[in-house]
Amino acid sequence: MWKMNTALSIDLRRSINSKQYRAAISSPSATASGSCQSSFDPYDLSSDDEEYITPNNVPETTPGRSDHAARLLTTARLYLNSPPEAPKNWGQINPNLDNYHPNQMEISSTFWIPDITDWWRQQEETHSKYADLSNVARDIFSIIPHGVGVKASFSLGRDVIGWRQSKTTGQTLRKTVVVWQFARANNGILAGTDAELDTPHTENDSEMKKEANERKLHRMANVHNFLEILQGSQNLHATQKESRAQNKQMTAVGYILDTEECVKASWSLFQHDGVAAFKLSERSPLPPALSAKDLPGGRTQILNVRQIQRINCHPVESDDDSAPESISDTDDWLNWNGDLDNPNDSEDDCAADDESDIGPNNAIEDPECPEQQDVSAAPDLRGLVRPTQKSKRQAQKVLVTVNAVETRRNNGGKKKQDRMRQWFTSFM
Amino acid sequence: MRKYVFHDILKVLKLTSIWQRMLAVVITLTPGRRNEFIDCQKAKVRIAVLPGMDVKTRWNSTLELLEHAYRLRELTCEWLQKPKYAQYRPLFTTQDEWTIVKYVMEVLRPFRYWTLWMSKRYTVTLHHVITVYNAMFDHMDGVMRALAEKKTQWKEDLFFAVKLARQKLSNYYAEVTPTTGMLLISAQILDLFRNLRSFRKWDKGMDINPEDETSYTTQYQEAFLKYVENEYCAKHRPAPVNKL
Repeated sequence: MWKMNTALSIDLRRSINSKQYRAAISSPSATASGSCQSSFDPYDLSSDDEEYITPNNVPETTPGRSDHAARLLTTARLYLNSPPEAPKNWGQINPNLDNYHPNQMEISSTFWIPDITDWWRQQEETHSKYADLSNVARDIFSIIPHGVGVKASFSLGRDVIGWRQSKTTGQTLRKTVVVWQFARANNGILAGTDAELDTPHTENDSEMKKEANERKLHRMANVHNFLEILQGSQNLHATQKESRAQNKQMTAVGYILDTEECVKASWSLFQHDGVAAFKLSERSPLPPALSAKDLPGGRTQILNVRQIQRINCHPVESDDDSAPESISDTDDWLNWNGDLDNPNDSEDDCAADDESDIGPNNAIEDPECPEQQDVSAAPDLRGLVRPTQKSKRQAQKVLVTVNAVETRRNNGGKKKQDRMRQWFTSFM
Repeated sequence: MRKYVFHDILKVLKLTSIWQRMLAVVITLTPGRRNEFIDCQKAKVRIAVLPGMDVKTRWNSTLELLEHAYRLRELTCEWLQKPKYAQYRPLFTTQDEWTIVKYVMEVLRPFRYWTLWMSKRYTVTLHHVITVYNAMFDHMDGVMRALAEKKTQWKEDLFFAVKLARQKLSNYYAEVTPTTGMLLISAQILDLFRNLRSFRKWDKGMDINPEDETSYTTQYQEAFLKYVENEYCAKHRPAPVNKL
């Protein structure tokens, strides 16, 4: 423990000698010269000390300097030969607040002494016989052996090796800790004594620090942006929530029913030109009229279904004459895309088309949706196989056969009917 | 297991710590157990406490944990005597093991004292370093003298452990030489209440004349003068004089 302290103290001492010491030494007289209030020369310097004003012109030995050195040594010898001061004259302070031993006087009696720095300060202020030596005392006693760094040096091992790292040998740990300490002593730089080699390291290190700071700032800015985005999304969510609540209220009142707006647009409404599409949508989401004449190109037809009965629910009505009676006049327009060129087909075809098209769509059975507009059209894609008129007639015959068989079975099993209907649909 | 552990002081300490932590977990597991443990302390202590699982990991933390467990040993024993907690009785440290723990605590306490004393000072402490060294050496020598004649295995182990610790401390203190430990020596000399008196005592204890060249007093005195001459006389630059 104290081995490290000693080494640390020596390093501190070196630093004091190089930088702080000179400033500390020159401070008292500098103050005196600055204030111009005291002509007292504590060091009894001669007129030859004029050259000390310029530090660069300091010769190795000068009469004043040798005089001061001799006087300092004389003071040191005088101090060493003098008997120690009596602590009784200074009063005692009991520092032992930690009672670990019943008889503390045996161990700690010598520590009940006042702060000796006061004594040395008085020596300097009163210009007593040990005033020259007070500088030495000030420099040495400024070293604190119980600092945080000393205590923290005992925890370096745990910093290097975590709890889950158990295979590192003591030798490796020692080397690592030494490198860490050396880097910490050199302000985080693993520099040597060569100034030429150290300079680029320092510059690189400062550049790296700058880059790290910039990255950190950039990250913070991103975080700031992210926070703004998050705030915006939260505001949007709150707005949507409010509008949803308003819609619900309106729905409850009866103004608007969501299911009434269930509109399926045809692919023919979509155009490759985005601007035109938007213009179209601005005009109206649907064709303005439900007449075939008004339809653009006559390709898109609108079906206004008031009530559609399911096939399974009325298997008896699935004969040729069982064309949906509830379908309005617009049911004539319900055709396959391939048949749109000939909308005036027979009712049988239309009925078959209605069943084949509407049947699988369970959403139509919604009793809350009595009226629904459906745009029956298929996208104009290449390779799309469209059912022809012939295939539709065949499918109609199959459907009639199936319904007839099921009628004979007296409505036997709805599941089977569903299965058959699905098969039929897949066949189509 | 106990018999084996009993002869190994390090395992005793380690397992004592583990068992006490496990006991702390067991006792504080439910509010009912906690209340029962607090009830055991009624009319015995002023402030009821619960066993701690751990202390802050820093200097002397092992000693503090052992002390905490040692203070609660009777209460823990009383809690374990309840029939429903009989399954946890193997966790309790036996009286012999408590004796070992007590010895170890006695060995460790001065180190805590000095570390706390040194770290709690608001004044300079560099001139006390050598004295603290000497106090630690004296304490270790006293423990070793007390354990030197003992024949019990764990006491021999403790003696061996203290001997190793003293050797380690001697290695550190060996650096306090006129070459490497000049700052400590200078601080000791600049202590106006000691000056060279401590070194003279050392010489007197070793039957060496302080005036001899091989004495501590002469060596350290010369080293101090040389240090002052080299560090202050040769490099010192007096302040400029204001002639106005």
